[in-house]
Amino acid sequence: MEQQTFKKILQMHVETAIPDDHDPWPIIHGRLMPGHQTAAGAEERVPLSRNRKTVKRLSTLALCISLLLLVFLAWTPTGRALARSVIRFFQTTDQNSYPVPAEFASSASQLAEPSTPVPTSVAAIVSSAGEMECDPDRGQGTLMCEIRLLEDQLGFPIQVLPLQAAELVVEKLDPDPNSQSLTIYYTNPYSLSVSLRQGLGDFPPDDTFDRVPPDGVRAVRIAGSPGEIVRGMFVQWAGEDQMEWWPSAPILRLRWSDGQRWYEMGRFGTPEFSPVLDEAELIWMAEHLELGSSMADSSEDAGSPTTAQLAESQAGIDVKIPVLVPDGFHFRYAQVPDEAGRVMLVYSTHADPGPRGFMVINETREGSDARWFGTAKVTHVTVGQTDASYVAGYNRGGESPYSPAELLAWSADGLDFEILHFTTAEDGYNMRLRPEGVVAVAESLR
Amino acid sequence: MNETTAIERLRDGHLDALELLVRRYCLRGVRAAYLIVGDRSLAEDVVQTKFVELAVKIRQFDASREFSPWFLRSVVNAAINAAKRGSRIVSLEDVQELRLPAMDSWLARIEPGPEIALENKEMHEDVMRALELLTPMQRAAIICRYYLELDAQEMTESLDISRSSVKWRLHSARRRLRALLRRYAPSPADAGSRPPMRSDEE
Repeated sequence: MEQQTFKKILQMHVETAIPDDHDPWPIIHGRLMPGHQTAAGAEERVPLSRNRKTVKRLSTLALCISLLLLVFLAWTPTGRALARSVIRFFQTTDQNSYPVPAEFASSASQLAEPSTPVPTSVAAIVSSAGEMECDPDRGQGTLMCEIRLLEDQLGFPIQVLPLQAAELVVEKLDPDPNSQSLTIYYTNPYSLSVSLRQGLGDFPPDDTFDRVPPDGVRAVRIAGSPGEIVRGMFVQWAGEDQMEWWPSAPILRLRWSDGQRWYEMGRFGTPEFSPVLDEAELIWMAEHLELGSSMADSSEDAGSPTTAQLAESQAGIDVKIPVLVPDGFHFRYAQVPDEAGRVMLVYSTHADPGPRGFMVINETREGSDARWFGTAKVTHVTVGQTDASYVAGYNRGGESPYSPAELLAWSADGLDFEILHFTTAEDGYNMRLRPEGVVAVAESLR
Repeated sequence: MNETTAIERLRDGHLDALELLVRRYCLRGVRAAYLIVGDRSLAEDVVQTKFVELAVKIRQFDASREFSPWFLRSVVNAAINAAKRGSRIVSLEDVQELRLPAMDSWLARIEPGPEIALENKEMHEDVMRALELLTPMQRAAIICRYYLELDAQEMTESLDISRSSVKWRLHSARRRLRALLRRYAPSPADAGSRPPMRSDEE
């Protein structure tokens, strides 16, 4: 539809609804002058000033009561205890800073340890047929399939955000079997991340980082249900050994409960875009959750949209899927295109978060992203009839718990492809592919 | 009496001076508010209240600024707040109904009458329903751009948000409208070779 047609429709609609002869002056005059006779036929309206004194007195009284209550809640021990009991969703802390907890420091140092030398071993490759279909045994596949399978596991219907309202794309579904909850991660073209977490019963206890100073929590209503919103978070600034409350962090967290289920929405954005998806819009989305399983039935497309299809439609390229994958690796999700328009297909050994074996296939338009192998030794191989570069022990910089990757890069059909294959000590490194295996995966892309 | 004189007289307490401002800006304000709140009496109430407040708070108006954008800004913001307060939950059925040809429009197709007029009527109704399905902020962005014809800078001032937010809201509103009004989209040949989901118009 052209803009002119759209403008014309708006114009026609509004001119029909509010004709040119609309004359509100008598009413406005009437509202300004109590007792003033309104024009004949004009709509009767209560002048603003009627009852104004009573309203003013009541407002002053309410303000005084609120102030007294605030003083009681903030400055008396009983009041503070009461305030804590009233705050239902976020756990609060009286401290604005505290030393970095030991478990955080140890996990950070663990990540900084040099990676273990990698033994060379052989892993088989298997057919991935059925990976993208709803196969309960494999547990992965289409987005709708994943949602339905997770609904069976978690025992409640999964709610999702109204995607179109905020131009969001599902990035990842992350179930937590311990708390019987699910987190859905979304992203949008403005590098904004939104998460929706949901579970039955009470909120799981917050870890230290998630706690909030009492004055950082504000009560809100979500479709009539009680909720709380928090801006800010505890952060560890570079070079500091304290966690410090950062009230203006570009992070909003919203928690609420509908009586049976609890929800948490998080909005994480770069400071530049922090006004995007503001508090009101977050609340609006929370009030307009949709049933995940019904999305498939209401979808305009005949089939269920997959994360790969969503990423494909965003990148505007025909994403190719491997027929063969390393044994033990399953398709997890497709990441939406980044700035270079790169679609990333992620296969891993485990669905749980944490260092696991990964195979990542990057696909982008040919020439969109310059390749740089640093000082790595490049071996020339062929993928089908196409020349390709193979790097054994490729390291993209920085320390990581992963083994150096096997990297295969080539171009075909107007696209640049990369396959990165990592394994970890936890996997025993026995799932590592040999170069022929990686080439076989590459040649199976359809 | 011109606008500047009217504002000066209003500052001096002459309520009759408000009449000129009402007659000049009320209709545009009510129409813009109506497109945002979707309810005539609510839109009228929003604008009337703004005029009443104007009479009371006219001293807060910086006379060196243009009156029209200042006033419309306050109307748009009041309309957004009114729409948020009165926002109804949009059921999935609403969305589906819009995407699929509604039974009554299908029945209407077999009625005698000019087909083009009917098509226009359908399109008109679908556009207005699609507009209802936007968030109040998205709707306000669309109305500011396409009805009030404000540019990005004026929208930044009118909506009192940053330029990047204006851009994002307009972009997301357009994308949602595009999705809801897909049946009226140009054919692939008209669209050229642009990627389907990318938009760099903003």
